[in-house]
Amino acid sequence: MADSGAVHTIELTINGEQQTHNVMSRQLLVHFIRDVLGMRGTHIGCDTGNCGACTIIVDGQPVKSCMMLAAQADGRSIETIESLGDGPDGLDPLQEAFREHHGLQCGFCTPGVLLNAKTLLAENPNPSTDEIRRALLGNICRCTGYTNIVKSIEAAAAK
Amino acid sequence: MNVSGRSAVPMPVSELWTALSDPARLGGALPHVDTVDVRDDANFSATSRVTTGLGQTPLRMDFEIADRREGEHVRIVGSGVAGENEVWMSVSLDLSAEGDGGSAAAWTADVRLRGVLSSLLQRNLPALVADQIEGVLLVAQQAGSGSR
Amino acid sequence: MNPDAKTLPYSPVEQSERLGQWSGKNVPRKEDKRLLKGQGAFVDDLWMHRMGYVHFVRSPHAHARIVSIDVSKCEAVPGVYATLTGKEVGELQEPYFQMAPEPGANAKDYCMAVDKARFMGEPVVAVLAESRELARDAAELVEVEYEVLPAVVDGVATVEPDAPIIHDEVGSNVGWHGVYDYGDVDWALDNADHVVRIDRLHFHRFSSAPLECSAALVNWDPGTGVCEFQTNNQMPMFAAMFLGPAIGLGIDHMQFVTQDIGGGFGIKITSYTYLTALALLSRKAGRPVKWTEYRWEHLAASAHGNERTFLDVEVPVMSDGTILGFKLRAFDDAGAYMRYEPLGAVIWSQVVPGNYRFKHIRVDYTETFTNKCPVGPNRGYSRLQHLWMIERIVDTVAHELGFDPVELRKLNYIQPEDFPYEAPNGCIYDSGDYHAMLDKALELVDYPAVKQRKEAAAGSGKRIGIGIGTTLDSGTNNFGQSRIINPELPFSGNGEAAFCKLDLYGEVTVTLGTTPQGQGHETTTAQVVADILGITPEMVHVRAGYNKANHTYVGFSGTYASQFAVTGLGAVIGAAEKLRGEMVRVGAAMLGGVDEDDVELADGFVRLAGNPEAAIPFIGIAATVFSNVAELPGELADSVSLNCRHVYRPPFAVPNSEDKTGQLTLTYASQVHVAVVEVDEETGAVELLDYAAVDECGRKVNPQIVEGQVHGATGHGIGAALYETFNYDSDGQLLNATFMDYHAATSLDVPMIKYGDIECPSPFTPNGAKGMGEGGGAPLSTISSAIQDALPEGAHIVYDTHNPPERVYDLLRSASLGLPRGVSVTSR
Repeated sequence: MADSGAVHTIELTINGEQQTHNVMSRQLLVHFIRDVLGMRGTHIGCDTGNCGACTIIVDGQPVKSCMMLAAQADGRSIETIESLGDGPDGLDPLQEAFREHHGLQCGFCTPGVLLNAKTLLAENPNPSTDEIRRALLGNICRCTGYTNIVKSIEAAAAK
Repeated sequence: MNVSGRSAVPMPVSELWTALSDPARLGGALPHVDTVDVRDDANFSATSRVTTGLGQTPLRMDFEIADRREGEHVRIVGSGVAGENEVWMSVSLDLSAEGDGGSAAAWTADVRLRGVLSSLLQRNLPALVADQIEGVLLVAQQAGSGSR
Repeated sequence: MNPDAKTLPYSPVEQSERLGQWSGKNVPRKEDKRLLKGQGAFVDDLWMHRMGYVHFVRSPHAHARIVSIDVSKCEAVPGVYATLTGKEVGELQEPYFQMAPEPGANAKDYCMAVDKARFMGEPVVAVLAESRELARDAAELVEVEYEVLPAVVDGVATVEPDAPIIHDEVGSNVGWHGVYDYGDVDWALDNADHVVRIDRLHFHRFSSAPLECSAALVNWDPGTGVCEFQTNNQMPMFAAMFLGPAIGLGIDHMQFVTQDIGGGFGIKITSYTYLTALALLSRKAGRPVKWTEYRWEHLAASAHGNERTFLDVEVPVMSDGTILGFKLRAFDDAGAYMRYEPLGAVIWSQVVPGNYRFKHIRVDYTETFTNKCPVGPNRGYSRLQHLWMIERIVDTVAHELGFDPVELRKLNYIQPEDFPYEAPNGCIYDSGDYHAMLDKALELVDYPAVKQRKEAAAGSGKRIGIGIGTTLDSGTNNFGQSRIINPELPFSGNGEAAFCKLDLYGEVTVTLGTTPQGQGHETTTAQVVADILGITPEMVHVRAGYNKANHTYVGFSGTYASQFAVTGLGAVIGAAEKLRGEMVRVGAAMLGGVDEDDVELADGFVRLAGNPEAAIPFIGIAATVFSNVAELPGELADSVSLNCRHVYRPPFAVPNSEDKTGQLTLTYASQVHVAVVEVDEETGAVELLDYAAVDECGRKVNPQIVEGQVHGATGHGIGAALYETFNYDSDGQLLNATFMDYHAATSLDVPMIKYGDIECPSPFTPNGAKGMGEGGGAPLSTISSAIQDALPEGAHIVYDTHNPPERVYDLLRSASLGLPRGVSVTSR
């Protein structure tokens, strides 16, 4: 790739696996995940860090991966949507809850929503409806009107 | 967009006016400037970088000191390009003496942006413009008093 | 009117008895597993060897002549593969076919700005380079010299003689004009007991802004001459029909592929302009080209929803509250190029009287050009605007003349026994019961309790308002309505195609002509086919997405305009029935030449009714036909293929372009919403305390999917009503082109929606379903109505679809300032 700027070598854990990569200075983490690692489940929906489609988990926290440089992931542990559920076909209970309660339509915001929900439930296993709605502030969805996303997360919490 | 403000500058009016109406000194006073190129006693160009919500955009502008009234008024017109965006501005400064030997500069700026920058900057443009102009006044003052 | 009283232009349709075991159930979606696991294939996920990335240089000016373009510095950068300028486009492309008659048709529309840029963000030069970042960096080296021209941004003032002309070849900024006149509104105005006059109503500019931006990977293969478009355009055949003639490419030499699309909502219909530029660039560079829109480009330069202004609205009302109709002038702001317009100039007339029994209506309709982003058929296309205006009328009449808003609506609604109802322009509303829906919506918010709460809030600094919105989602278009705006257009009717087959080992496979963007087509299709073939939805493989070469299509194929349940599933039902028929005939022969009437498909077998032992699995049927065909009688073998295609054709005739009448849509889904708002007297901030959405869309195939669509449409409507608008300044600069400032509704903005539903099956569709999905924009009416209800006496009427705090604040103060109210009443 012909890009200008320095190359950085980073070591990071990706979905539980320790890896070493060379990244360009200005490469965004989301582009690194999608183009270099080839993991296409993390999506890009805006230019300004508002939509949350690129949400991943970094050291246990939900982070918009378009707002981080790949170089900043050095020494970190990141989890993407590909880490949920067993193997190519398995759905974990959170994903099952979304399927049952129709918490997705086009699916473009879904990976970001799921990872955000995962960290919410890890911190707060029994969130109120209001807490869930508040936690979803960083994820824009244009299809569902949010109601079924909230219900899916409530159902997952109840499991 | 019209932005205006008023600043106190602790230097005599005539010195302030001289600084603001000299392309070399005015060019040198612009904040975040990378290069200045003075062409004659009224025209100069400058390249700088503007901070937007998404980082920095290089800006290249041509300035003309369009109006001068000795000791009391300067109007500077600038136009230029930042990537695909175009910028045009007209800044008028009216100077008056303050009782303590210093000056007051009442300024108005008419700034027009064309391109996506007009969207990215529309919330912080007044602050950006005010910063730029106050920065100029500060540097002009420092230059005038011999320190930089 | 009802079926007995009058002759309908088309008859009720026989509906398959086989539907019902899976249709109507909440079958979990087939699409979900891949989407939940991030395995969806969206266009930006795709990659081709040797591809380049595209960046567009766009005009910063809303209106400017392009004096010169210098790409030399850009092309000198190593890694830049090619550029394409508007000047080249002018030579390589014929202007797009225009749907308007002259003079509107004289506007020259190309994929990039050729002589002039006509809106901020219009593409001027395309740069192809080896990386996304390099393309953007190199694009900064392109030098474009512009001669700035004055811009016009007001969709009404643009017709004034002193306005700058946007398309010189048109001669004015009017794209189309026509008058729709039904009944005798002058007589009604002369004889009414009251005339309510509203100065101005305005439907604002916003977008459904799907989360995935437009994108494409285009490869014009020099070897085969086929141009492949892997893209998220949601109406690919419409795109093909426009871009093919423009670049001299036969439809047969185009391939379109979509798989997962991150929302469309009508905004991804007019992206054929970008596809054209990408095709030309691919051919020039000899490489595949990949393009993904930035969000700011999507908001500034893809498509906006129609902005419409209604002036001089006059409403004749009788003393008992019967509203006779209305008269008004409408100005629809199409932006810089018409593209899908002026179809919108007739599409609103699918719902001329809205949900009401109005008989006397005159609309003087002008489609105008402005230096803003061109519009596209945004969710609820053209009906939203008209229906909001009608509800504003009803709401205002109730308020001004002192009628109860619920009773006034019930008096004027089309009554349940009137269906199928013939509207003043000949449209047939198939079924409905607005009264029951209104009652249900009021019950969901506990109307009596809310009224008490409203009274109790008086003087607290918070004002409570209750609003009602009644709308329609007219579905399955008759494209013949295009002849009402231009009698020369060669379009009429509608159609969708589906293909249902057995694969070599008896696997049931279906392909569709549609391009789903989250509506669950794979699932509902499987439910219907499972019913017809006596299997389970898991046993039906519906090919994901759309693929022109592998799937099947007609001219109108795509997913838009609330019609899949009728047209798409109508095609599926037809194809599945054909396949079933063939399987029965083969099965009857294989079972020893029994009577076909004794053969049934059940439990995954073709068997003798009443004798489960005499059963052939599907693999047996398929294997015989595909690899063992000598065992069948010759005549039978010649007449079965187990590959069955069906095109569903709704029963439309060509409308009458003289008097602008006809049957324009087949189904009429309806919506009644009720909202409870709390308005802060000090700030004008509006909070939604409660929101009920009651929906009716005929017989539901998958109730959970239907409810999801209602939630989504409600979310979009609430977003537009309170948070989302496009702000242009007087220079035509879009001031909120990113999600930082275009406030897409969030999880806190949309309340937990209370959903209710009734079912009034359509007599005219193969499955009793009605198209749905767009919704009718009910939240816009509902929230306007609720805010109106919260305002003090003497306040200006709510006049705009968009009511952010600053507008509500002005409305609140208008009462105490004694300003004009925007409405007047004359009574006899």
